[in-house]
Amino acid sequence: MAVRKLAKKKKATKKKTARASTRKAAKKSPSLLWRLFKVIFVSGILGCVVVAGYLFHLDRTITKTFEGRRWSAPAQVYAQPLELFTGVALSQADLVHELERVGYQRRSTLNVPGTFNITGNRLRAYLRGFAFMDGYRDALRIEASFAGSTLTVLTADGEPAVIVQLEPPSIGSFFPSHGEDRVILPPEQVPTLLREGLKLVEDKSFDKHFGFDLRGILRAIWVNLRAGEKQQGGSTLTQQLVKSYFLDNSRTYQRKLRELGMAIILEARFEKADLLNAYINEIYLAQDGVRAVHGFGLGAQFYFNKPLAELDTHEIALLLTVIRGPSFYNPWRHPERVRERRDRIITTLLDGGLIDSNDATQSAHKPLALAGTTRPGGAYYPAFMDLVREQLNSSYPKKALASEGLRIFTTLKPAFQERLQNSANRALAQIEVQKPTTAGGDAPLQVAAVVTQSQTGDVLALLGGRGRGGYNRALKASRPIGSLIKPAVYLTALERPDFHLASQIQDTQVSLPQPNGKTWTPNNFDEKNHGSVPLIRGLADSLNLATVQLGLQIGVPEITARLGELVTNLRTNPYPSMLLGAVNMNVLQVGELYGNFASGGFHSSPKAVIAVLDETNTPLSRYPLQTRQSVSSDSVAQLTEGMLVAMQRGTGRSSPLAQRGVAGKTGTSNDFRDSWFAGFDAATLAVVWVGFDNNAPTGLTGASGALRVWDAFMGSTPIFPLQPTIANGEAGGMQTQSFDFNTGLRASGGCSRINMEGDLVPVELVSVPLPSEVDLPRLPGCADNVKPGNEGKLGDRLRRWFSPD
Amino acid sequence: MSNSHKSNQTLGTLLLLALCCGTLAGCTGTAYIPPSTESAGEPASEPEINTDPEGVKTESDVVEPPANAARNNAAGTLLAQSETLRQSGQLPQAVALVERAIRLEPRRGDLWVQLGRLRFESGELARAEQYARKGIALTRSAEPARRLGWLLLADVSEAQGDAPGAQQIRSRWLNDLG
Repeated sequence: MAVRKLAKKKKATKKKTARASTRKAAKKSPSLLWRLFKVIFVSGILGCVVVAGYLFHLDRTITKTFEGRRWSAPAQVYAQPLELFTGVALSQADLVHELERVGYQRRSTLNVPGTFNITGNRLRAYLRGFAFMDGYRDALRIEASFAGSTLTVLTADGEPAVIVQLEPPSIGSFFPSHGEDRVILPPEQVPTLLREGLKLVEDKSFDKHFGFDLRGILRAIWVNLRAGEKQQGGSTLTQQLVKSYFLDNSRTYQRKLRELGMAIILEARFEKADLLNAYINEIYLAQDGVRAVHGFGLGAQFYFNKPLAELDTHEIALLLTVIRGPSFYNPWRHPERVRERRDRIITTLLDGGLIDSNDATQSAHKPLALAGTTRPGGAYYPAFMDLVREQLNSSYPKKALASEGLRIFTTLKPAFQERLQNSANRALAQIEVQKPTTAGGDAPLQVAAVVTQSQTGDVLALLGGRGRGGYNRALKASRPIGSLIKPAVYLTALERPDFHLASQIQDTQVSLPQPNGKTWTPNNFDEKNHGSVPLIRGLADSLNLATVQLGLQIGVPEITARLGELVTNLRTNPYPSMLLGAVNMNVLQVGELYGNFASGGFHSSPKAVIAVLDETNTPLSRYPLQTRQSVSSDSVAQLTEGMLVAMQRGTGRSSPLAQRGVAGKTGTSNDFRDSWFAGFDAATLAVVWVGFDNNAPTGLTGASGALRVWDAFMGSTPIFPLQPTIANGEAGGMQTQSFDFNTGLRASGGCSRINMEGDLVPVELVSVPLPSEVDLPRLPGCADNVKPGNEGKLGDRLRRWFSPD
Repeated sequence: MSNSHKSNQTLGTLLLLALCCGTLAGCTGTAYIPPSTESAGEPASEPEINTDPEGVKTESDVVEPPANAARNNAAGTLLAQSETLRQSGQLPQAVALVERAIRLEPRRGDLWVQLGRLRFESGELARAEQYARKGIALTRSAEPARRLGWLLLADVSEAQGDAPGAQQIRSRWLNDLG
């Protein structure tokens, strides 16, 4: 109400003033011309002020955008570089595969980097220059000879070489949520043909105009009118650059004017060369799911899996085709259309004198030669990338990862990842045929797996599921680990002076009241009680009752506390049910737990990132190898023996690798919902989970599910049998003794015993390290023919054990 | 006290140096990791380290004894390089090279001991101790690196204020020269 009154008053005042001024004007009565001039002058000034203000605004916006975007790129993530040296286990085919992974071309003559050829068992390659995490390595020519699956001779630039790195594949980048991904190229890495070709095809007078090209617009209109369709655009490269900055496709004059103004400002402020280079790094070239591929650097990777500098004429012509409309000219979807325009561009390049007729003819005959159609731009590693992001998040915020052009060097080994993925797919397909189940509904049986280097904790491969991308089970699926917990229980026992591998434990029925009032009565898998058994059998045969009895004797809180030292940041359950694995973990956590054993008693957190460099290759952070002794050599040696025996004669015996010096443990959760296996040789630890996303029973034990995947993976390369890490002669307190696996009584080969059914059966002899002072009771009727001199040293014995008989 | 500490440390360093020389003597030529010729020219006072991690015969299809010797050469060259860098005070670069060597041969105790020595010199005692322990756990009693690992552990103990503990280790390992 009050407002309206006020407005009325104002109006009234205005009217009065207007009238007054008319009167004044009438009195002075200057010429009409003068009045007109004044109006034009004032409005001219006003207009100038407005335009200047607008231009100022445009200037600020576009300059800021241009400067900001010029070097802004998502972080690039690299795998571990392949190390080439004499003696490395690498066949010629392996090296070819690795070279092709980073886009090397097979050529008869090696006159450019990124090429290789083969003569007999000799492979020559012209390696690219690359900024490794320890510095830049120039391009160089190498020659490698092979004998079977070993590299035997290596030279670099003609000289014998000790060690040479192959540049690592880029495994992904942290593009921002709006999806723009790019790699920034400096001008010297842009081929002249692309630079000149761009001008020739898109903007002939680029070197002369001031941001817009009137003649170009008129020509475009003329051409388009004659052709009856849009064949030419009138936009200069500068206008296109502005347009791509703001991604505004509305066809309004206002937008056109704004673009024009910004283009003129850019031209006034920056050098032509800078503008062209910005264009080359900016322009939209493809869509890959949520990822938008921008710039020719990434475009070359995406379409051809090669650096831009290595593209041939026909490939550059294809990129020049695609910029007109990456969807309309999608070469996978519309090969004919793309081919036609590409060949027209080749002719244009010839007419413009950028290529000779020989090149033009040859190029026009080349097929489109795209990178793999199913996985353009090389393979992506979503599960591992999640882990990298997780490990970087504390020190590098999302925004920094998306824009600062960081270079991240990681532990991933693409060959391991490939093997893991293939092994899992193969094994699961077999399992589905042999043990079909519909419990998962429409969803297939799923898998998660991690492979680490035992001594360093480096994550070499990480599998988040069967398909490409999607739900990352390796990080997110936290499931009950079942019997995988048992080594932690047995370790806690073995660390006490009163327990060793031959200690008698009771595999007898147990009933425990629970907090909810019910009674917990666990059972063995075979639903039998085995009475008094040696500790090693409880572990190797995964006896539930013996484990619960042992755990109760040691104390659940003690075991929980020990577990907390072996796996950091674990939420565990304080009830006796934890003794049988009612503890949820993901595969990485299980990897952390078993890393303590696989390394010979050292804890390392699973590690994915080695170093982060900035865009000028200055190191920002290095993530040092982390290790901490978590278990004494003696205890871990006994535990590892237990898990070796678990493979040889226990729950892992169905594995084709069981007798090859590997240690491991199966795990099965209630009602067969989760199938687990964790196992290692002397080099590699692999943990596998198999189950349904909806937690439905799979009908699989650890051995019939996860172990199959593990077998397929570990069996795909040579095994490094476990060796004693125990300090033989140093600790001195351990001695190898032989006893019957079932009774724990001292025995030797050829003896027999009476089993629980009253039958006479041969003993199953195990020879494992025990504290020297342990004097086992002898199996009745079994002569002791163990020669102490022969069996004395653990190291000697293990060495003989691992030798083929 | 501090004097003896210093001399012991110097002894450890000398042993390490000799170790590197021994490794270096085995390398024939390099492309991108050139051996420092001045140390390669010195006669190696220590025998070549016997750190054949695959010394145990495997049942796998590929058995490659000459390969293993050469494999040591690659990691050994990196180790020697890191030692050169250590002497010129470039600790971070030296660490990077040893870590690279460890990724080639994670079970070579001498590499872990060198890593521990580098951490010790940059004052990271806790880390140095753990690397020394790992180096010891991964070496056999005949390996010189095992002694170096123990001497490093003694240096760490002393720096942590446990002089008697350090003395105990040294009296055991300083006499153990063969």
